[in-house]
Amino acid sequence: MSSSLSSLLQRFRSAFSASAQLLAPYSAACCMCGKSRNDTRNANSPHPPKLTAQLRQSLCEQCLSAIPWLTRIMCPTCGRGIHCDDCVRSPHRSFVCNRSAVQYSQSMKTLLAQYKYRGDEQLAPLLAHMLLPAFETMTAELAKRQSATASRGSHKKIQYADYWDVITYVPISSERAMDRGFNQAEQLASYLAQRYRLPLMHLLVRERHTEKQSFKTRSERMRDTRSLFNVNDIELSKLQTDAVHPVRNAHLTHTAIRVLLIDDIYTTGSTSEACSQTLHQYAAKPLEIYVLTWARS
Amino acid sequence: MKAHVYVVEVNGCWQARATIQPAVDELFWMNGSFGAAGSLNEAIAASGWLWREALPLGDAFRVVELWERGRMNGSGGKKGGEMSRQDGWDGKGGNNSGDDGWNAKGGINSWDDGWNDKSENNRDYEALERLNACVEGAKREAGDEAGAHIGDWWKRLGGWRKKDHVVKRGASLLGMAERWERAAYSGEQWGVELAISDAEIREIAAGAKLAAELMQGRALLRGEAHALLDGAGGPEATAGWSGALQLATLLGRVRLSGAVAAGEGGRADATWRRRRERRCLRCGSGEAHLRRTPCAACGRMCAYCSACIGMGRSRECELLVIGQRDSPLADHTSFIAPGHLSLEQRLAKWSLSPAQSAAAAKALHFVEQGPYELTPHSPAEKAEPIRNFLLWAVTGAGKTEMIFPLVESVLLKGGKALIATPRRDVVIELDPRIRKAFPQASVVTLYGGSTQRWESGDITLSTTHQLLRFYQGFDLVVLDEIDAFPYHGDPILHYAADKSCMPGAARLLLSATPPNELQRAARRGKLPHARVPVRYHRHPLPVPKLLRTPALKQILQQRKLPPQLLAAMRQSLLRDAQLFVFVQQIAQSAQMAALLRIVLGNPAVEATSSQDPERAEKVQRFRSREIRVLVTTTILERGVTIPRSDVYILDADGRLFDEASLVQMAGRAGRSAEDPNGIVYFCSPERSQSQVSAVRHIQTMNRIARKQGYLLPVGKGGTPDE
Repeated sequence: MSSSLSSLLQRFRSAFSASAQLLAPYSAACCMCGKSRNDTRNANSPHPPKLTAQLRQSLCEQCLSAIPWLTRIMCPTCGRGIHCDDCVRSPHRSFVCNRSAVQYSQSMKTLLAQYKYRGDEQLAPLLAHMLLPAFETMTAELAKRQSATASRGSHKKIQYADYWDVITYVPISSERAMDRGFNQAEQLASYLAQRYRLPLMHLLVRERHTEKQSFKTRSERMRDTRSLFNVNDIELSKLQTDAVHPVRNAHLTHTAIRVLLIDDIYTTGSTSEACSQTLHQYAAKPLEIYVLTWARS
Repeated sequence: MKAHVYVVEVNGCWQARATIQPAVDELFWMNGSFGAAGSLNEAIAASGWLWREALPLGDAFRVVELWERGRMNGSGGKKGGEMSRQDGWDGKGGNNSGDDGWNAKGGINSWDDGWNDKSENNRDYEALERLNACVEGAKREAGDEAGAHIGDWWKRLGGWRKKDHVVKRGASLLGMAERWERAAYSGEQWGVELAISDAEIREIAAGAKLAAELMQGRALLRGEAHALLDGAGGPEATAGWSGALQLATLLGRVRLSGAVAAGEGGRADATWRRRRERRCLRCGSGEAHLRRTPCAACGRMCAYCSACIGMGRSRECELLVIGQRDSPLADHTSFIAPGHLSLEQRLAKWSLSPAQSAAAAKALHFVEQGPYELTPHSPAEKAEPIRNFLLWAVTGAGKTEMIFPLVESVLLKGGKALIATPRRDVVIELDPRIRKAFPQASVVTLYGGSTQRWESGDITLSTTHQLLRFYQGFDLVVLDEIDAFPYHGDPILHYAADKSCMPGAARLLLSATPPNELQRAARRGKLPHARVPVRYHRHPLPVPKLLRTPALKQILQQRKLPPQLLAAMRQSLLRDAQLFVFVQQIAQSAQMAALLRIVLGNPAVEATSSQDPERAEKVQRFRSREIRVLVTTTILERGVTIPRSDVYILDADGRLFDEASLVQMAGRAGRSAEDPNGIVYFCSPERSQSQVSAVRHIQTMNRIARKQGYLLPVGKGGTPDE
């Protein structure tokens, strides 16, 4: 009874937000190239992943079709589109796997720079919406793997909240927060959490202030990211007390707390690795950490 | 970022201020002596209160505003102690007045710490209470604006509001602030312990001097100001720079504010409460371009400007540093011509043509005559409006040479001149010419990525975008190509161009095709102007010929040029001219170049556009005649001067080619004295209004030139009228 009521409410809510979307201001200019995109309204070339209306509305057809989606994944661990030496070299990661939405191409680099370094926070929803297909694919993958091991699952619509216990993000240092004013990973994570109604938790803090990652070489990054993070004790204990998921059905067999860690880009994986290690180290219960990043370089 | 607020009592009068480095303020007000710099403050304060909690930058400045407003409203503003419930102080911000917690007179008596038996301390305490009220007021405003929730609205409708700002009194209030006492410096020891060391004080005093010097006439965001000061050497740490900027502010050399801030007024919302509309103080954009996001730097919802984000993010809690400039021309006693030379004698050295001299003399007279009563086009808020002068000179008239005497005049007076143009290519091209004309002067060239970014000179050459970083920095501003993209129609760049002028400064607007409103103002005598209807070589402008051809799309499809067009182009190549071929769309330029390469049997055909990374290089090769035919878009309609050239405009009836654009493109032909009669073709299936107007425009200019006797007579190599 209560579940049907809550689902009704949820549907009501999503209908409301969908109709509010209709009223939202709607820009005639493409967010990426800045050109007016009136003349390219009804070109309907197929796009590999399913795109949200928000995305289709804020980009012109050309920019939309130029997004280098990462749909073909070669490395099951780090989600790379090509064969991956890193994962062969160090096969044991502290996280289960990483998936990224796009390849970190030149145009994506420009887009991220516009958002992250220039501070154009209008782009946050756009980037978040680009993350959605990857998130959904990732969850579907997870669902498939589970239903394969457990009962031969009926093809029900995936309830995302059944698969994730918590969403968290890679933190930035307080100096950087003062400087930049926002944490891009946190913004992405909070969009995702809101959309799929998952709990967002601030599990990690960044202890040291380091040089921007982008100025460093590969080995420097690997070395530097160790002991960079710490846990937010309050949030972590909260997670462990109330994250034993009540809705998670009996046929879902895993016992570990499943964490989704969000970041903007995945380069060597050292940041994700460091975050995961920190979480494992301080958590009393077993964790299963998945990483979702916006771009894979 | 966050800032502190404090109040100090100077000569019996309490004043509130915001600071980014409280220790500097404490030293300034309580002692005034800055090491080797000596005493910097004549009026030492008796005492003061520093609010301990750091506030979001915008709120801190708002506190000072509220304080000032209270002081102006209150009759007892002179002496803090005379404030009372009745004197109108409580009307701040148009908010509800009764429950503000400011009227805490009763609180003083009920509080027993010995304060109330000394009237002076009593006054001190009241100042603190007032500060508290202002802080609460600013916080409440910020809170209200951030969350105008339905619930809030409901509560207000019901006439009850949650009193979340509890009146603080007595010890709890004293705990909120830190008391400042006069600090006597006796030999080696400070009377009270200061937060900064002697070495830091020295560094700050030196830094403040440097900052005051370097910041003159500039408006920079905090990061930019730090970069400017870092480049000049001085304090290393950020804290050092904050201190230096704060001291310069106290000395009145620099002004600090939030980069996005509210003005007064604003529209009332549905519940009759005024929401103060904010504005980006750097680019002038209003609410339409502001985005509010939760900000980790100040801890509340904070608006940033999306309009000028390309030049660094301007936001509410970001510091905008404006340097005050004392212009040597500021006294405005009218100009006296340097030396004893007459206008004509001074103009002689620049060897101008008769038409150029006449216009330059008129402009020079205007510049030197000083501010006078004139209905201005500039914002009314300035005490002295910018004085505009339109120099309407045809393409190839030699505008740059005409401004030399004006620049010289201002430089001789010790003033600073600015020459700004919308396009970066033009800035770079102008640079050597200016340096050659003024070998003695220091010239700074600014554009995105310029190496001279933080330098300062007598003459500044700049793109109009860079003007955002200046504030009343120039005594003469020359705005070139005022009708060109991106300056034309961009309110941000207009705001920047206004802001960069010293009040009352002369501003020259240069164009071959002024926008209609300026033409009208000039015709009606509202805008002083001079017209130069002839080129420097004194030959008439080439009048475009209209050629009926199919649309370019069709030509490209058929892969064949219409015979007349082909014949004309062959003729042009035969007479050894360079060919400009203008098309509407970038995509068409490369296709057209490929077609021309075939039909003309000439490999030296190239295409370029705004999206071509090799544009500069191709223009160079076109100049050196390595490329004979250049297919391009409106991107090259201005600024490129090729001695012997003919112009072909395809699809001349297209909507992207308006009258101004056609006149500019036609102006590429016949630029040199050796080949003054270039040929211009408007090729299109239809004759549009723009084409007709453009031809008429050119013919009118030629007629005026002839009438005024500026054209060379036929016998001396002049051309007869058509």
